[in-house]
Amino acid sequence: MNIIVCMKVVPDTESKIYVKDGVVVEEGLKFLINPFDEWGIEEALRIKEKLGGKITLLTVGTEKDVEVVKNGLAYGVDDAILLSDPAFKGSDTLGTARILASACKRIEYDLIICGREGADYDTGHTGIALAYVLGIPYVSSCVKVETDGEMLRATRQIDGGHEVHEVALPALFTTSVGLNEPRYPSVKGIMLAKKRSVPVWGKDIVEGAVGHEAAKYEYVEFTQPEEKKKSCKYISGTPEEEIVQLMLLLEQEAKVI
Amino acid sequence: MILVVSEFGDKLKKITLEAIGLARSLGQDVCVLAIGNGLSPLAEELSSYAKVFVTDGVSHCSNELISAHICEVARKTDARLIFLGDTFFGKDIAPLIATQLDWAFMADCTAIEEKDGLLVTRPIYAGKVITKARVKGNAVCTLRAKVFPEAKKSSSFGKETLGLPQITPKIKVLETKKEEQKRPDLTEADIVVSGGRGFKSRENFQICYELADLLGAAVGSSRAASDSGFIDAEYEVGQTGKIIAPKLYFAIGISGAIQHQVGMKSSGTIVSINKDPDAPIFAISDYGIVDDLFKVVPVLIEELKKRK
Repeated sequence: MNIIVCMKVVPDTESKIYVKDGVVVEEGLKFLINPFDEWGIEEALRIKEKLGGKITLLTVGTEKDVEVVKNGLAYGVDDAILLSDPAFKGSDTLGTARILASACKRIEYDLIICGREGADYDTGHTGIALAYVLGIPYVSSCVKVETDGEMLRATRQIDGGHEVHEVALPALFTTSVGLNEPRYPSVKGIMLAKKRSVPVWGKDIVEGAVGHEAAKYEYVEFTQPEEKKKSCKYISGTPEEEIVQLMLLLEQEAKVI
Repeated sequence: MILVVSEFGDKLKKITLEAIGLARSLGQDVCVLAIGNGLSPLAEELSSYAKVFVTDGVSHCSNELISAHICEVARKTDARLIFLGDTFFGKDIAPLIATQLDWAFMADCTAIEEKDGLLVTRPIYAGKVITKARVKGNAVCTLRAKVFPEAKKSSSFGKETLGLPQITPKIKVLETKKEEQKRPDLTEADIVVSGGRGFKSRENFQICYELADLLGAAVGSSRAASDSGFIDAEYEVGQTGKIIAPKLYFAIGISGAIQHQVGMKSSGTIVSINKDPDAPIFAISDYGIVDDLFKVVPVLIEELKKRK
């Protein structure tokens, strides 16, 4: 059972992110594995523990992402490949999917795992576009998956419930919140990963149009949202007094009840 | 032409009316597609907002088939924009439609303007940055809920019946489980009661449901609460969960991590109950009670019961 996990390197969205002169300031930002992809790595490890095989990480990025890619290797993943080339710059989500697809075609796989979305741009296009470009089916926003190496049975989130899908491999699924609780990498894993080199594949492997020219959209403006200044009205007293006051405020001031 | 793909549970979702409203505000012709089962009443209702294409008798349908169908309708109607909600349905299907049609895909849009082409506004980096994208050509967009004004009813626009395309799906939908909808949908509700780690256990979390039912509210949670198993993950409000904007939001026992704030800070009125006076949630709240939730919430429940 060979698995490809696509992993994006994203800034820690818990950290301070701000815009200066119309661009997002990257300096000082901490970069990490996209949380949705961390669930992907964990699920791949669990499947491998059961069925054996090989796990390959694919990251579209730049040389500066190598350190974070090695954090991915530290979990006990077999291989990682960085897909990087100046020609990839300005690729949109479909372009990124084409780059990933070109790499996937050079690797043996039964299953591809992607995060539902990147925690940076939250688009949620690349994984699904990758499945389409490769001509394989996908199940999105999965919270539970089972596979015997032939079939994939996946429980996915739908609005107001769940749906169970079954599909023959090769297939792709995207992860969602609740899929698993990722382990911590072992000290040994971290040490080993540090020594690994991450091969870089560039534009010569890529089929289809990628990069800025091929992009169907371009981000042209970045601003910081105006923070709605709220001053919290604190209510104090005994619980009974607090509730009387709260109800009064909700009814007469906020007029929401 | 703008094609809106409608969404409904037991009844039509507001996001569909918001999508039609946005499409109309762009001064374009609008048509709506309804795919599902037992659609007669829904199609009738929709036809007073826009021309409706009805694909009835469809259940347990895989994304490949639905997407192929929507692409056909887009070609037939000569649409250049397709709108869906930024719901699980939209997240699943919209990226595939865009890829199949070779159009741009724009997720979670909060504004769409026609200004020398299409200009789309969307929040990124957990809402810390707002960006505008210039789209070359046609696009499939998912829309954030409660941002766009709902369309108003007018005359009847008529209906047309369609059938699904003949393709053999690779995916088998074995089972669809909808939780019993006794509470309103989280993204559509006017009032939401959310609980956090402060509840300490799944049993204690029942207080949230009791309060929600007295208010006719939906129940939500922080990531900490769902990670701790107090409630299932699909009720999570936040960056990895749902982004909502009800008129009234109760944050109970929730400290208010950035990832939670992203999901609820656009709510109208925010009430927080937390015994930690330094909890960040208070900074974005309208009303704050610094007290033990297990003392305060039961009193609120009693007060609401008295009023019934």
